[in-house]
Amino acid sequence: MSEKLFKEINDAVVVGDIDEAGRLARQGLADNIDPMTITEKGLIPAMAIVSEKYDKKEYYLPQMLLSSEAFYEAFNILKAKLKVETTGRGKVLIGVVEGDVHDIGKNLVKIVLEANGFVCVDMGRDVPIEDYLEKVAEVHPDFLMLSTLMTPTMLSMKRTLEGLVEEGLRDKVKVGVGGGPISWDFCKKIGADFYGDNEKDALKWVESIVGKK
Amino acid sequence: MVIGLLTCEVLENEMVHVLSHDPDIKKVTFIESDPAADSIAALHGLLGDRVATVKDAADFLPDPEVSFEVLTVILRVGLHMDKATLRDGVTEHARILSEKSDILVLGYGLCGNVLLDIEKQLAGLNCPIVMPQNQDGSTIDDCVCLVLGGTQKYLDQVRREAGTWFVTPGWLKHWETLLVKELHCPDIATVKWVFKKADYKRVLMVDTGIGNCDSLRSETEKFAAVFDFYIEETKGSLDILERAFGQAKRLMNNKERGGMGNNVKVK
Repeated sequence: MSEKLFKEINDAVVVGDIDEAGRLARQGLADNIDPMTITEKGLIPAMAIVSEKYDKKEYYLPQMLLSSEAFYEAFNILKAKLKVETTGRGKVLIGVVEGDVHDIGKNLVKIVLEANGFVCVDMGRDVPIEDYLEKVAEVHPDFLMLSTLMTPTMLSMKRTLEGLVEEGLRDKVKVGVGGGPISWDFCKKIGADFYGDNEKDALKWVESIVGKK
Repeated sequence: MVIGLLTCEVLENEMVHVLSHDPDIKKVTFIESDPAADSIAALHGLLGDRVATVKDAADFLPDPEVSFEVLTVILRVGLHMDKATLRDGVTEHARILSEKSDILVLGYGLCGNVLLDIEKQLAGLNCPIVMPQNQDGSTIDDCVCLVLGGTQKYLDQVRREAGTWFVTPGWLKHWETLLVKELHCPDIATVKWVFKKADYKRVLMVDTGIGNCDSLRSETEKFAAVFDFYIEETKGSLDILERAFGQAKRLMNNKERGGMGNNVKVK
């Protein structure tokens, strides 16, 4: 019965059926299936399939958005019942830089990190540099992950790193950067610790720092 | 001397204006293509028999009677949706144009950093390359920053409202291609949903002074109505494009006087 639910919730997320994903999450909890197991066997593999379909150009932006919505519809229901410590396996402050609203990539990274036990403090999109600096000082994340899709707003990443140095926060947090125009060259140039091309790389990186499950 | 111009269809209006208003450019030849059709017609209307077409670059012969002429290739909108398509398309056509040109003007910017290392891609070309630049000499980010008059102007606008969609005449002409086809949305309702998810709220009409402003405003209003955006307007500029052509002409004049080698790459 559990296997059937895992398959159905997986399918719902892959096709982007938001309502069905939510319904199946509630059903799973009602059937006393462990919410972490539903996440690991149903939701995480679904996003892996979605990501693969995107890489193969079978899925595009609209499908990615729908599947992400379906994932979160289910995950937010399950998360309420998950036994997660305050810091989980690690705390990640994540957001899109000032002037940019494109957050699908950031959301995919957040999905994968949360589904794998990391606590994500999501700053959202169009986040001013000073807000990142204040939040780093306030919540002491292990990781700060910044995203942008546009080349003009890459400057905000550089200035955020400079701000961390000026505020004496740089050695207290590992910084990862990502987004369409970003590269390892840019990452090194601005003094960040990591560049990721996709959410799987982001997970591998944070796990390499905190240790795998 | 021949200036090779390789540009995106989205900038067709701006290019037609710059080419038709430059007193040094005596002739414009287009390599025929679907994306070039409207530019050819528009320039014919402005320059008459100073506009020519060839089916292939191989058919082009420089005109010994003119000091500066332009050989033009226009590539279709939306190439930037796939990095390899944009990079390969620009590289291929730049190489073709360079065989018949003394200098190449690329009517592209960094375009999401897809063209960041375009000079390396084009290493070994017969002729120097000029790319549109900000005042500080950095390559312009993309067509939006270009028509706004520079990257800083773009940043000023997105700091006012991050969810801003910028429109020009060329952009409005091609919006359905760019938003429906290139984003692989099944319909406009899906595009509207995507915009809502991304929190786009404003359409900014960029008026560079070319064409009919009332017509641009009317098209902007139609676009805004489809997506429930509020409208604002800003003055744009063709300075960056005009500077690029100016730079190309200066470099060719220097070359004629023996002051520059063939292998100089100019950003």
